[in-house]
Formats: sequence, structure tokens, C-alpha cells
Amino acid sequence: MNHKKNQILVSSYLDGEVNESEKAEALSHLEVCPECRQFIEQAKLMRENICALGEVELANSFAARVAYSVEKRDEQTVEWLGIEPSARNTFILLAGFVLVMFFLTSFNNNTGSAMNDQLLNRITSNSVSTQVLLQQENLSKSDLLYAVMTK
Amino acid sequence: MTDDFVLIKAIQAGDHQAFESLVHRYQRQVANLIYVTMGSSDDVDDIAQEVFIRVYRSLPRFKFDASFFSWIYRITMNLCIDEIRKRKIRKVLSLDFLTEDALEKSRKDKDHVMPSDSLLTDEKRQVIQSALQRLKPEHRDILVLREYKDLGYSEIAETLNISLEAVKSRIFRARSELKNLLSEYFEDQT
Repeated sequence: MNHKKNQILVSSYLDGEVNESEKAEALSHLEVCPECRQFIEQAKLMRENICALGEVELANSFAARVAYSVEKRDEQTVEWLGIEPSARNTFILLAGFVLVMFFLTSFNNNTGSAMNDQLLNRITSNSVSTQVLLQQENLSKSDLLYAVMTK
Repeated sequence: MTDDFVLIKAIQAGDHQAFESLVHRYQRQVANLIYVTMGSSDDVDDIAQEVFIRVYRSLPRFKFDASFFSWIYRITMNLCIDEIRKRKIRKVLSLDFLTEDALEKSRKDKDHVMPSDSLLTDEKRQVIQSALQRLKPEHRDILVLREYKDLGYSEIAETLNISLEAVKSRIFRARSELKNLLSEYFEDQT
């Protein structure tokens, strides 16, 4: 058995988590290995110190306080037709965001379309060929504007 | 069916009194897990409250094939890890902890929940808690369960969802790491 396995065995022995044959093996290793003897001593000291950290106590009213707060949450959930408050807030935020985006988009479209018409009229108002193109070639004003702009 | 499972069934049926009983049964264990994992008694109350609210929200999904302790343990540790991450970020982003208001709040928090029966001086306690904080999380968790909660290897294996062999080797590695972190402390002790 290599030393690492012996160290794990000795650590398990300290916790009483070994069977009889493992215990005998651990004890015989401890007899010949000062490093593992020191490990055991220090592990015991660490355990004492960790246990000595003490405990914290929550107030007696803690359980009642938590139960009251979840009860309140449940009541709010019923008031909002079964929607969790956090889900409800997310829903309201999302709905607001969608509305804002909708208004912004339609405003941009209207403004953009009006600007296109203005530009097209300025470019094409006196052109006979443009009028012909529009009437005969079944082109839209936007197609014509695109052609003028790319030219 | 265990007592815990009876309570959980009652809570799932909408019995708030049963939830209060469950909180009462586990509040001490949860508070102490938080205390040792976070390395201080500050905010134990707040985090414990968050743990139980999360427990309540998750109870409809509780599967009755595992122990309730291992389930609540995982919720507690996840919240502690989140909190430690948040604190690290806050510490980097802000110097608020140096203001007089923050110091006053810290003093009040300390008055709120204090370790009741610590056998160590403040200085020694800080050394041990600081060393526990610096351990790898997987090592800290297993040492807390073994040395502080005094759980057996099979209980640890169930709680952490690992094999018995993994428990043995991880406990050894955790002890070795802690021994190295406390090497100066041991020199003073011996």
C-alpha cells in the first residue's frame, strides 16, 4: 500500500470509520510513521478548534417571522390571480418595454416615410421621365428613390 | 414516513403552521452552517430567512426519496456561495465598508446574533474562521459536515451525493489543506 493510501486510512481511523482489519493496519502504520502521527495530532487539534467556534442562536421569534412572511406572500399571490409577485413584476416590466418599443418603432416609420416623400418630390417634381416610369413601369416611389440614391 | 415528510405533505397542502414547525426544527442547524461557512455571525439571520423562503418556494418540487437535511443543506450552501461572491464583487466595487455608517451597522449586526458558547478567544476564532474561508469550497463543506456537524461518512456521502471512497479521500485532503493554512498557528500551539 502506498503512503497516500495509508494517510487516507489513518484519517478514516481518526473518525472511527474503519473496520477491524483496517484499524489494525492503521495502528501498525502509525507505529512506524512519525509524519502520520503528527497528522493525527494536528487533525485532533483542528477538530477541537472547529468545534470550539461555538454556535449561533436565532431569535425565538424567527420561525414565526418567516412563516408570517411566506403567508403574506401567499396572500399576495392569490390577490394577483395566482401570479407570483416576482413573475408579476417581470411581466409588467416586459409589457412596458414592448409598449415603448412599439411607439418608438411606429414614430420612426412615420417620420421616415414622410422624409422619403419629401426627398422624392424634391428630386422628381419636374422630371417627365420619372412620371412615365412611375406610371408605365409599375414602380413604387420607394423603388425610384432607392435608384436615385444608389446612383 | 419521517416526521419531516409528514410536515412537508402538510405544507404542500397549505398548512402554514406546519411550515413554522419545520423552520423551528431546522433553524439552528441552518444558522450554524451559515455561521461557519460565512466565517462570521453577521447576516446569519438574513441569510437563514432567505434559505427558508427558498425552501418554501421549492417544496412543491421536493422529492421524497432523499433526506430533508441534505436538501436544505444544498440550498443553504448555494445561498452562502452566492453571498460570498456578491461580497467579493461589492468589496471590489465599493469602499462603503470604511464609512462610519457601515461600521455602525456592522457593530449592530454583531450585537444581533453572536456565537453563544465559543470556547476560543476572538483572535483564535478569527484565525480558524479565516483558514476555513480560504479552503477550497469542497474542502470547507466536507470539514464543516464532519468536524462541526459531526456527521458520519455515509451521511456525508448522501448529503454531498458522492461515494464513500470519495468522502474518505476528500476529508484527508481537506485536513491536509487546513493543516497547511494553520501551520503558523500550530507552531504557536506546540
